[in-house]
Amino acid sequence: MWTICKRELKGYFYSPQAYILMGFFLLLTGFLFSDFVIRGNSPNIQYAMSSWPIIFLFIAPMLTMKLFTEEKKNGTEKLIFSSPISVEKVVLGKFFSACLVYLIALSLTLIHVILVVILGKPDMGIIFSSYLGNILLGFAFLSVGVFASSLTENQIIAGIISFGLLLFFWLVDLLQSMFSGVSKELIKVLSLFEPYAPFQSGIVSLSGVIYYLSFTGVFLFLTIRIIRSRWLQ
Amino acid sequence: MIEVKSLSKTYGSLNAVSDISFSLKEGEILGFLGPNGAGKSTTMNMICGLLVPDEGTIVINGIDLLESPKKAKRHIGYLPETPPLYPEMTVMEYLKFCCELKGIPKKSKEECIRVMNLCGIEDVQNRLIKNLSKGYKQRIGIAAALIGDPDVLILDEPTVGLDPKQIREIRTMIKSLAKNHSIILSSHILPEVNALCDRIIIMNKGKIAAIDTPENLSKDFQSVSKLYVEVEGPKEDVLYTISSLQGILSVEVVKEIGEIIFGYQVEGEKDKDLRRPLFYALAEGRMPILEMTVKKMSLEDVFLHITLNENTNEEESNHVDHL
Repeated sequence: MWTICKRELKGYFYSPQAYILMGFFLLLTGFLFSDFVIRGNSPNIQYAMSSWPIIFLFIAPMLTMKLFTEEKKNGTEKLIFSSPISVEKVVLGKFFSACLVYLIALSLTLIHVILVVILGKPDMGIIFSSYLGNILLGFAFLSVGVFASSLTENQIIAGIISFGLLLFFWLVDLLQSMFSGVSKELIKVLSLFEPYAPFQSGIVSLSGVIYYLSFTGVFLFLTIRIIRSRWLQ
Repeated sequence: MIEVKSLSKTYGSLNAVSDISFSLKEGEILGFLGPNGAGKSTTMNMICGLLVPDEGTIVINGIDLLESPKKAKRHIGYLPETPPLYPEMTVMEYLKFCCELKGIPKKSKEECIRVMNLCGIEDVQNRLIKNLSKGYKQRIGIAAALIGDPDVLILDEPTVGLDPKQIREIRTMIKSLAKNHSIILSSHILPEVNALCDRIIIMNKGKIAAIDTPENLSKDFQSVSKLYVEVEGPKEDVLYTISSLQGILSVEVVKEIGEIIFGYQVEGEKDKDLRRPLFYALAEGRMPILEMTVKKMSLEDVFLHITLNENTNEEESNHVDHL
């Protein structure tokens, strides 16, 4: 698994891809920081952080779209799947590599935290839970991206599919008011946004953690299924 | 080394491979020959564990591939039709990655150097794969297949797209590898299979049409013994002398060389050596033989014979169906 993960990380950092995406993320989070914290003169960094997922919604598809499509294009999936390594490990390896790039990008934003700690008295609990929420939500986004990249041989199409899916899981929340009863509950289950709110207000909800982890698990499982049924059949 | 039994694979309504069985012995080079779409690559992909067969078993070195794929795959080195390379890696990085994939992270450096020496690519070890020529890429592909010293090598069209010099180098390499490995290779270049392989499987429409040594294949499919002779003498006399011999089926003039020199094609009964009676008869009539050649069926003839025959048979039966 780490073999695959390591190779993908090399792929990210040997090309400008990871730097561009991380730079993009830092630039936009920097904008939010200067707007909410510096211009608003408030140490409450969590208000800036609440918009991070929207930025990552655009970045996650770009980060994941090449993971499986590239293997198909190079024909290297034949090398990987004729080697003594299981499909599960390949999928997890690729997923973790994208997660690591995301975590590196997030860790670079800790500079915002350092700044507010120096300049004011922020609520560290809320900052911690906001980071945790962003990490979990980010992993869920990436699992959707990994899934999309196993569906097609074309990077662009994979990117569009994952962006479309993420947008759906994000905006499905808006439909809540139109429904009631069971369908409303169903929409709540589909909405990635719904469990994110408590993290922003400093609550680490167990149900939220479980929700995001299972969401991620479902998409990774679907990816494994797709590879087994479409690539190896 | 490999035992394949009643292997089948269907894609929708297309029988890519249907009910094929064969075995690969130790130290043997087995050639897969067949027109495009005959099921060669599908069969190879199944042996490498890339495709799950609908039916049948594959046993590699005593290990069932479908039951314990991980163990079985360790004994196989595979080179697909296009070498599976990462263009942005250097040769060394790529081979190290292959070592890790095959589960030999320790001593990976020694292993990489060993396979690079075998394939003659040590000079380019620090270059990016995308900048290398097709011939080098093919060698890197073979080097990757050799990592971990697998007992069986499966090479899918190893010489396709190479120039004549590179083809010769790769063939010499394959020959030398056969000392320590059993090899399955596919090709649609007949002389290549003829020169390299101990046994040949001719595939057509997902089935095995013939399986034997190259020599036996050309012998078996020869229905008559054929000779070409050039004789000096009056045409009628020569024709009469030859056709009055025992065991002659037909004789005809195929070439006019001089005023009284002609080339004749003689067909006799199968397994009958016509050379001696022909010589004595013509010598008696004072008609000197200037040239005599035994016409063997080439592998190409056998191949065309098998694939075309089956196609026409099928067309005929289809035709009957329509009627």
